[in-house]
Amino acid sequence: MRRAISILLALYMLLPVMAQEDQRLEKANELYTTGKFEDASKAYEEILKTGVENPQIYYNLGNSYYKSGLLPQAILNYERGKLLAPQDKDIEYNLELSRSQTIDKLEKVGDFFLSRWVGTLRDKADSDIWAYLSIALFTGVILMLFLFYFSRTAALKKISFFVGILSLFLFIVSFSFSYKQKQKLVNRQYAIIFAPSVTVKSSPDASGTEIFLLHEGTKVKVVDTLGEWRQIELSDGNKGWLNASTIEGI
Amino acid sequence: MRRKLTSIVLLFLLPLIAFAQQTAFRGKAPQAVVLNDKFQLSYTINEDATDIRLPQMEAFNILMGPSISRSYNISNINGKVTRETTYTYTYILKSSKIGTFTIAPATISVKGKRIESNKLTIQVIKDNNSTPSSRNSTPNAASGTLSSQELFITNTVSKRSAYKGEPIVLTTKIYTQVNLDGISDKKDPKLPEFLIQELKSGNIAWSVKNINGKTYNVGVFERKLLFPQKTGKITIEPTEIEFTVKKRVARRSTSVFDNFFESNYRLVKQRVKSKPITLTIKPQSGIPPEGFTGGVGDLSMKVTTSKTKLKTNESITFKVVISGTGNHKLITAPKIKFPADFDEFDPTVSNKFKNTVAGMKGTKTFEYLVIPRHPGTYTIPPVKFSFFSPTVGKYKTLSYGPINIEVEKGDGQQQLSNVVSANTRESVKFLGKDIRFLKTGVSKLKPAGTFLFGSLTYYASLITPLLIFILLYFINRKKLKERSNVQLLKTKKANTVARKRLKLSAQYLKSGKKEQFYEEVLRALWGYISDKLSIPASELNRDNIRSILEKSTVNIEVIDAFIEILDTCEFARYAPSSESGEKDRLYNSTLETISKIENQIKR
Repeated sequence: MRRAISILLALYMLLPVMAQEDQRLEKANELYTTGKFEDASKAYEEILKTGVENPQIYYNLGNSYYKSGLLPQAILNYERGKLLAPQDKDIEYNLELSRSQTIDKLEKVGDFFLSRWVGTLRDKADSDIWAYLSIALFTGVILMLFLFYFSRTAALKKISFFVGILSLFLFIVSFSFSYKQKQKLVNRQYAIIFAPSVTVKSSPDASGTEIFLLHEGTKVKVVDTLGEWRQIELSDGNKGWLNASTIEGI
Repeated sequence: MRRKLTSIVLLFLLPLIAFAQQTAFRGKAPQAVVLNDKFQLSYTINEDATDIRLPQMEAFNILMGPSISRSYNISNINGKVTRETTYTYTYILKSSKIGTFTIAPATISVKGKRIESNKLTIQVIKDNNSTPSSRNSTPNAASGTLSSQELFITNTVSKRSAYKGEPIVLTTKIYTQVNLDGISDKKDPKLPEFLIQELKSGNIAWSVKNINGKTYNVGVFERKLLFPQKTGKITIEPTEIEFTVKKRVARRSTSVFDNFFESNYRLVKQRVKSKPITLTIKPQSGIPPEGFTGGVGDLSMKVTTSKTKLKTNESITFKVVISGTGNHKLITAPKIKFPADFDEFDPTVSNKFKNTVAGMKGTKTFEYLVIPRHPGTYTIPPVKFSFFSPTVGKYKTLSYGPINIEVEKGDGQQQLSNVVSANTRESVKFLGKDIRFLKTGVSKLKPAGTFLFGSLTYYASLITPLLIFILLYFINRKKLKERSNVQLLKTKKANTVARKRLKLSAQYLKSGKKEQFYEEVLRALWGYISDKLSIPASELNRDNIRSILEKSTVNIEVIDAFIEILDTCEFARYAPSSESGEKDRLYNSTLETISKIENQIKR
């Protein structure tokens, strides 16, 4: 009885901290539902400014921008949300819808099917989930090791050996996935075009030959940096230089 | 009747309606006359005047005059009626001296005022033809042809050397001493190397000129502007004209009336040819600069934009006006570098120039229509127009700009916020689809950039089970080792317990006291079991010892050995003789059994 009371007390102490966050989020959500999309996007941005994040905020912020008619900003925030939660279907859907309204229609270069499969599997969870899974699997490996070492019957030894090897393999997979997902967030290579239209040059120079034209909302991969210029690569493999002010990193 | 009256009244009112006109009194005479020839001198005035007085003229004699003629001219221009009356005073004069003479202004009196006319200059030239009166007759009349002396044409150019694109005036003049009736045929030179522009000319203005002592009627037949398109030496082929010439024919008349009714002139066809001219066309020196579109001459440029601030899908017009003298016809539209995102249409060209001796004069206007499709601020680089100036012999570049254009988002793209519009992209598959609604569930916010992977917690949670395993492994190993050590110690301890119990019996064995020895062994055995299992010695006997020991998990062999010792001792106590070796053996087996029981026994 005493223990239950003390737990409740501890929870009550924590409540104000959590409640504050929720209130801010709820307020912003309310602004959105009443149709004040621009105010809502400001409110979400305020929350993000305090140095906290989660995929939900990015998703909601993306929605607010979309509803205010700011397509590139919406795409940027959906992309950010997707980085945090690659498994989220809603983010994926809204991002796809926003992308379909951009002007540039790009063909994707087909990946090798195996790497595509691996990528799809990896995107089923974010870095933390893979990390938890890897801990669980590693613990499993250790348990199997125990069983193998201390059991006296041959059958048990055999089973524990194979299960142990399997979980070791799965541990390595989830470990590398967790690492990859974290790298995606730490080394953000992609950017969204923010300028209504931008001419991509062949060299990092204003007088360079104009190669192609990109419009707002298009996602590009930043390959190289030279002063104010960024070398970008499109999903169809084309490369070129543009000014850093025309893009916004995801 | 009534109407007629009104019109008559109106007719009389007309002069009143008409505006008061400027009084003009002008004299007119040919520029050049042949000595001893008669010519007309006339003065015109547009008002009723009296008392015309001619100045003193020493070189001319007045043969006749003045004869006065009057002309009316009523014109109605856009409802404005103008009535003009012109009085012409004509004199017939005859020149008497060779040279250039000036006739001082004549005076006339208009409403009591004296008005002066303009001065006139007349050149009197000598006619070398022997008979001035029969100038038109030809010596070789019988043959029916004319000599090249009597009728010829010349082609002259304004310059013999020019830059490519620089205009050259080609003038064709007719020199004649005969009466020309008309032109029946003309063959112009083919000039593929030139762009030709005809200079407008009205009727041929004839003048009299003395060439090599001969008097000719000279008229400019035509003038052409030539714009060279090729460089190098270019020959202008001769022009050929076939004239019809009125020729007096000496005919013997059969009747007086013949002479009177029939003409004694005959029309003769005469073909004349000019001389070829060779021109040198120089190339434009230097490399054409940026913005050169073929312009040669003295030109200027003006650029105007219809607006610089607009919304998407609205249009802007850029107007480039090229003005001055040059080869307007050959100037193509200067290139304006519009941003690639602008929809651009071909420029429309409008010309407003006329051909002059110096080249084409006027303006050429290029209008560029562009439509920006996307919002943003665009900069159009300077509009450059270059042309070649033949007077300097160099290229000149004019530039305007850069021009900044601000494009705002038009109304057409505003609808994106609510419904996917069908025309924003080529293939929009769905209509009326919207983004999914907010995520409203409670979720935890975590500081940005925090990951489980790579954190201390992560590695700790990985290493902890591993460490536990390693720890347990070593503990297990140590325990196994220790277990074997304890066995050894226990045996040792059990031995000492047994030895202690059998201490007295060992003394008796040494001293050879047989009975005490056996008794002491028995007591040691019973005492040991009693102490070990905490059972009083009185409750122990040979019958229950087996079950008690079995309960205490002692091995059957050991129990058998224990009972055998008991039996041996009981038996030996009362047996008469026994060897000392047997006692030693019993002592040792007792010692061993107690040790074994000590190891195996459990309370």
